[in-house]
Amino acid sequence: MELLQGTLDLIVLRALSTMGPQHAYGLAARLEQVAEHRFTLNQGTLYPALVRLEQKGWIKGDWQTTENNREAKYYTITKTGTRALDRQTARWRRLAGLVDKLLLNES
Amino acid sequence: MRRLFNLVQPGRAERELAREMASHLALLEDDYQRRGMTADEARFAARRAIGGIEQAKEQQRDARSFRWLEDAWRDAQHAWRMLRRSPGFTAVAVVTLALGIGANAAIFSIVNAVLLRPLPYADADRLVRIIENVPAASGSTVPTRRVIGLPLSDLTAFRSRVKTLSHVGVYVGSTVMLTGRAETIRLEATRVSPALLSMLGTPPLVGRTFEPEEEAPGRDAVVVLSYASWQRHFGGARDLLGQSVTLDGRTYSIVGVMPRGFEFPDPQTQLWIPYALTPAALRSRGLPIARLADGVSLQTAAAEVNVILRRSAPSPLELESVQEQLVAPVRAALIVLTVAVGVVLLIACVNVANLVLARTAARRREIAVRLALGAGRGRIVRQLFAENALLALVGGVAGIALAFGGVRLLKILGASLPRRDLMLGVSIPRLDEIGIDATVLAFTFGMSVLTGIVFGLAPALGHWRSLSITALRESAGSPVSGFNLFRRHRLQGLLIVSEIAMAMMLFVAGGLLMHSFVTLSSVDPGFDRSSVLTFQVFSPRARTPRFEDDVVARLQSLPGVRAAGYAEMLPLVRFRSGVGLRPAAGLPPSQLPPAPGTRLPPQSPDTRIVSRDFLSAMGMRVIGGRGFGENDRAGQPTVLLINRTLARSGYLGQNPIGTMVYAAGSTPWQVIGIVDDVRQYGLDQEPDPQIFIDVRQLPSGNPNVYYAIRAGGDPMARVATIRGILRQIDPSATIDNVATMEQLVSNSISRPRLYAVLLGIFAGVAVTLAAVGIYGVLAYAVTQRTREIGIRMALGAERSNVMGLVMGQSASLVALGIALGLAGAAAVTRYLDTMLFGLTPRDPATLITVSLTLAAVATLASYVPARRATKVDPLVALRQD
Repeated sequence: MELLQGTLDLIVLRALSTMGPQHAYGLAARLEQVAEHRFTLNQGTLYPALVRLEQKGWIKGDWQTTENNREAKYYTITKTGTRALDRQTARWRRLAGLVDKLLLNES
Repeated sequence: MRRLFNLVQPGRAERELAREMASHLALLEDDYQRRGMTADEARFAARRAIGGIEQAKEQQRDARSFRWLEDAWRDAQHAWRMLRRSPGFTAVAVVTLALGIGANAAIFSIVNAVLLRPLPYADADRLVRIIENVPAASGSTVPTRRVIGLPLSDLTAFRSRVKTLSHVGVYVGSTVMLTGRAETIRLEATRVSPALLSMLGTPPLVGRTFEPEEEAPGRDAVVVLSYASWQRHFGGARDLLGQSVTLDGRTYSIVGVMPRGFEFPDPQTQLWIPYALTPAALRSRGLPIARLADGVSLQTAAAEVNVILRRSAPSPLELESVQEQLVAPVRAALIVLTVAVGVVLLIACVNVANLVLARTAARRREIAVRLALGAGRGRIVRQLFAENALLALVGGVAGIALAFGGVRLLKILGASLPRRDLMLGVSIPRLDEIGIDATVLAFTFGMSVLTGIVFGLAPALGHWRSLSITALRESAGSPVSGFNLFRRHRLQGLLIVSEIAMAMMLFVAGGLLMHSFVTLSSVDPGFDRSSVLTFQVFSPRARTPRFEDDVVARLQSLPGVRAAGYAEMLPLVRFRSGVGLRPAAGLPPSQLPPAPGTRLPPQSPDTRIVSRDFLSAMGMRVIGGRGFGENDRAGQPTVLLINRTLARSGYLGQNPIGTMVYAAGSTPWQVIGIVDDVRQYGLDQEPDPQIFIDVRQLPSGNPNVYYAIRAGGDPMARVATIRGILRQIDPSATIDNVATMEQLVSNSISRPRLYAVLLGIFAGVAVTLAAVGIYGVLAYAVTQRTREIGIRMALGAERSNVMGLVMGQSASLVALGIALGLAGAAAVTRYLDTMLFGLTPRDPATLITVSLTLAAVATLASYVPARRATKVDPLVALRQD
């Protein structure tokens, strides 16, 4: 299953806001787990999304050390990111609701 | 902000990215090890899982910065490689553009220097001259426009009455002899009313200009030098202020030097002296120049000047800016040249557009491959555009190099020998100021950019739709119904037709001017221009009658000199001196009007006073009766010669030789001979009725006569010998205004020659470009159709059929282009009317020659690819693809 266009940003923001700071690898693993491995996230999609979000100022990256003493870049959601998440979530709900309604009426 | 940062510091972002990838790999390895793999297994598995690290990096790179700017740089690099890969195409395109841009830059450099840049005076656009429009009725046979001569006695009153002019100055040209040195030097001077130099507002380079009180007689012994004469005759020394010089026997004190480029009123002026209001000067006239008062328009001032000067100048007056008056003689021609050179650039653009179009078509596969690999359509167009922009810039740089050469050529072609005494001005005003400066460079750069846009649009327009992956499936030359080279290349056909039409128009214009120039230069001037040297001698003894005869006698005794004489004026000079003429016997004949094309009627012929041997020295031909002889001296019966036009007019009867006429004085003159017509005023002026009188029977009014000697070899080589002879007669004598008749004839047609050569060059370039264009498009079309031609030949088509097919295609385009070009030329060549001599803008001979030549060139250009088409081997052609 492929992700719908534009939903990856929303998913990443949501994951960071509920789980706290995460590195990219952790985020990927976590998302695959939540989705029960119904989709795999390739790094080619995830990294550009992280760069994009960081450039928008919605998330912020810091180099830290993991519990296994590996270095990794931990991403945190920012205040603007939280506000954006609220907006995006509301938008998604409206959109999803609309699509649902259409599908129901048509069937 | 971050993006910008990333752009200027890509290294940092790259390191960050590599670090993050490494971290990802490490975390993945850990995970695999936790799941029970060995360290090595985990490392390999992780590497596999993460896939193309480089791919991921690439995607991240796209997101992180101004991709378009990086792309633009990459586009430029790619464009450079593409252009270098096809050197033939690049060379043709760059040369084409360089010709177009270079010619434009060169012509613009003239327009800039002559028309656009203000004269080097303060507020030069407020300086005006007073012009008099003399109607044909009052004293002149044709209407004349000339700068008025203001009586100096009126100057003070005029100044105080006129309110619309803040300053009024007058000047008059004169020559002075600089003596008190090893050699007497003759200098061209301009007498100016003292306030005139300060009115012009150009600060002096050294010292000062004149003070207003130097107008008073007695205080006027001061002189200001031009830069050139300061350098040439005064060694460029700065401490020369206050130094005395002797001019015409009077002592003057040098008070200043004007800067280089200050050429008032003409480039010949070597020094300025004040115009003192002495009683003698008050009876003379000066040429006025004035400055408009603040806020006053040209018309308002002209109205007031007309009222004030009504008594001294009865003809209607107008004011004209000094710059306008200076450039008026060349303005129309400069506009014609600018338009012509613009057309050359358009043709160059069309040509390059065609080349680019053909090349883009040939690259359809390359483009399709790039599209298939994921390049955006806009990205491809931008890439093509980058190539064109680069091409235009390279062409512009080459064009500048060409323009430097062009400006040098212009300066050589435009060079002339201005001679005040012969009323010969420069052929192009301000020629020295012409050059490639910042304005010209900016103009050229702008033009290259514009050019790139114009021809760069063509492939984008022509191939937008074909920019698709489907081109991959197409093989070159898939047959379409019927053989029409341009059915699928309609844009190219259109471009070819317009290119030929424009080249045709330029060719017609250039052809007309060249034809006109050939006609003009092959006019028989009525004298033999070769081997004649002319000069003037300046000496205090020049007015004594024996002096001239002494000089002539010594000149004649020089070895190799076949004839020597003198006259008060040379031919080809716009100078007239008329005299009333009527037959002595019988009733006065009816007054005749001037013959068509001439100015003077037979009853007031132009009069030339010459020495006995002047006619033979000039090579003028006596075609009836006899010339002047030894016995036609003072005290003997007075005799004169008439020219052929006067003889033919019938004014003096059917056989004028022997007729007695009244001319100058109260005693009658006998007509003893007829001289063949001489172009007295210029090669383009029909000869007027004319008489010749021997100087011994009517002394010349000109104290500084013109000598002419006819001698073998290089006439100029004799100048030193002549100078030596003069020294023997009078040590203070100087020789000046030296020129061969060949130089004077050549000089008199320098402007038409310049225009003919320039337009001829432009026409040649245009026709060459059109030929290259036809060749290029046909050659490309034939290559594209190789397979089809092969099929036709396999099915039995003869070589002549194939040849006819290809040639026929181009012939119809060429014919259409020539027809359109002729129509266009008919619409615009009337602007050339005033530049033509001896033919009309619709001269049939020129139009036919030009059309046939262009058709021949076009046929030749299409013959080469057509011949290649017939060489197609059907077997090879069918095996292609």
